[in-house]
Amino acid sequence: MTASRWRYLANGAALVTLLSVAAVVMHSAPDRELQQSPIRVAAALGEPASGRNIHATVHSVAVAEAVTAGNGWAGTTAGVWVVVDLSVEAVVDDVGAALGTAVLRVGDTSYSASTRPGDATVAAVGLTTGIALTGPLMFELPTDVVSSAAAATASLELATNSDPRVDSLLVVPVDLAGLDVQQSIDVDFPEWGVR
Amino acid sequence: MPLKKHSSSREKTRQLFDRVPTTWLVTAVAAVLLAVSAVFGGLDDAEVQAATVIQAGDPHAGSELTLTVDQALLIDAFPEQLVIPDEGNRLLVVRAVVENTTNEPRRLITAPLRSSGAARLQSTIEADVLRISGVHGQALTSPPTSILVIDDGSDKVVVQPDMPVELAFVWEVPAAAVAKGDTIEVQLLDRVLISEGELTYGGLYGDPVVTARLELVLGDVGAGVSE
Repeated sequence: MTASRWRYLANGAALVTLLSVAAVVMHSAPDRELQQSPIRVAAALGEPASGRNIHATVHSVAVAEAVTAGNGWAGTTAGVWVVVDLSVEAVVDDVGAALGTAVLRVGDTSYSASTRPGDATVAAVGLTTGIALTGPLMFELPTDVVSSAAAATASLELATNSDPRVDSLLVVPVDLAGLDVQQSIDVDFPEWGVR
Repeated sequence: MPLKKHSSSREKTRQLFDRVPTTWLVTAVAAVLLAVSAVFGGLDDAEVQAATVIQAGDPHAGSELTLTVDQALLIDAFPEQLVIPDEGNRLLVVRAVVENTTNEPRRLITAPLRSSGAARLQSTIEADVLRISGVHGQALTSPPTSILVIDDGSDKVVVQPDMPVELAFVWEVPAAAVAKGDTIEVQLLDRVLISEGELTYGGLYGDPVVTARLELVLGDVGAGVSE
């Protein structure tokens, strides 16, 4: 009788232990957002940064009311153009390595690089291993966003896939609020090598 | 003895209850539930939310996009954008200003036709921004064959947050089915977020629903005007 009572107690204790371990695991395990989040690589304007399969240098950022691209494209916008000049290359593999993620994040709003100029920007262009491609990215932003408080802490995010999860994401802080809005700028067609 | 009498009457009730067929019981329970629901208006006709009828040029705010449709016209082709219909077809163009009111860019989906000569690709893609009704030989759910930015004629349209952009939604339609002066109905669609995926990543959306409709009289610009 005493032996079986001890066995009941031991079973109960084992069950409680199991449940508490399960609770601790459940509440401390990384959630899906954390498991799948991109691996952010902090970068800086004008300095090269490397991720798993992307190596990029953001040379300059400008804001303009009008842009003329290297292929003659001069699309108009209701807002302003943020023009980024950068060099970008693949590191280990150029199969399926396009500059799929080129996003300007201001506050909690994200703007993707415009594909309107066609092949005159490096947005969505295929990257080559070890050979840099230098060219512009153009972002269409509302005028009031560029002068807002959040624009001072904007960031440019670059990755080799349109879905940047579980891969390197280069993050370049950009101060848009500190830039003068230029009347018009001309940008060059993308070219090989670092300018 | 009163106790025994009481017990026997109780037994009788029980016997009576046992002889009631089960289906009667089920029916009775259902009838009671129905009667109770009727008190709260359960038998009234369900209110069908009719799509609002709007006029050309009226902005209509959906959950993600605000659409302002202002014109529909026929044109032979957009040769510069390489949007050229097959022989016997023409292009039906709906002009609309689209503004994205979310905080991330949204790519608008089209179902391009195969290069000319090949059969129309049976597409499972359905229109999710706007669609046209009242054109013979054109499936209601078929998405535009292309969407162009009117400003520069570029396709692969991505609508950036809070940046209104004027777009041309282009359908390829049989030339015999449409003529200048015909009235077509444009239906504005909204997609409904069901939930964030549990096993998949990103939002899961239900079928697009029509939230507004408007009637437009087709214009005709023949071979085209430069805009």
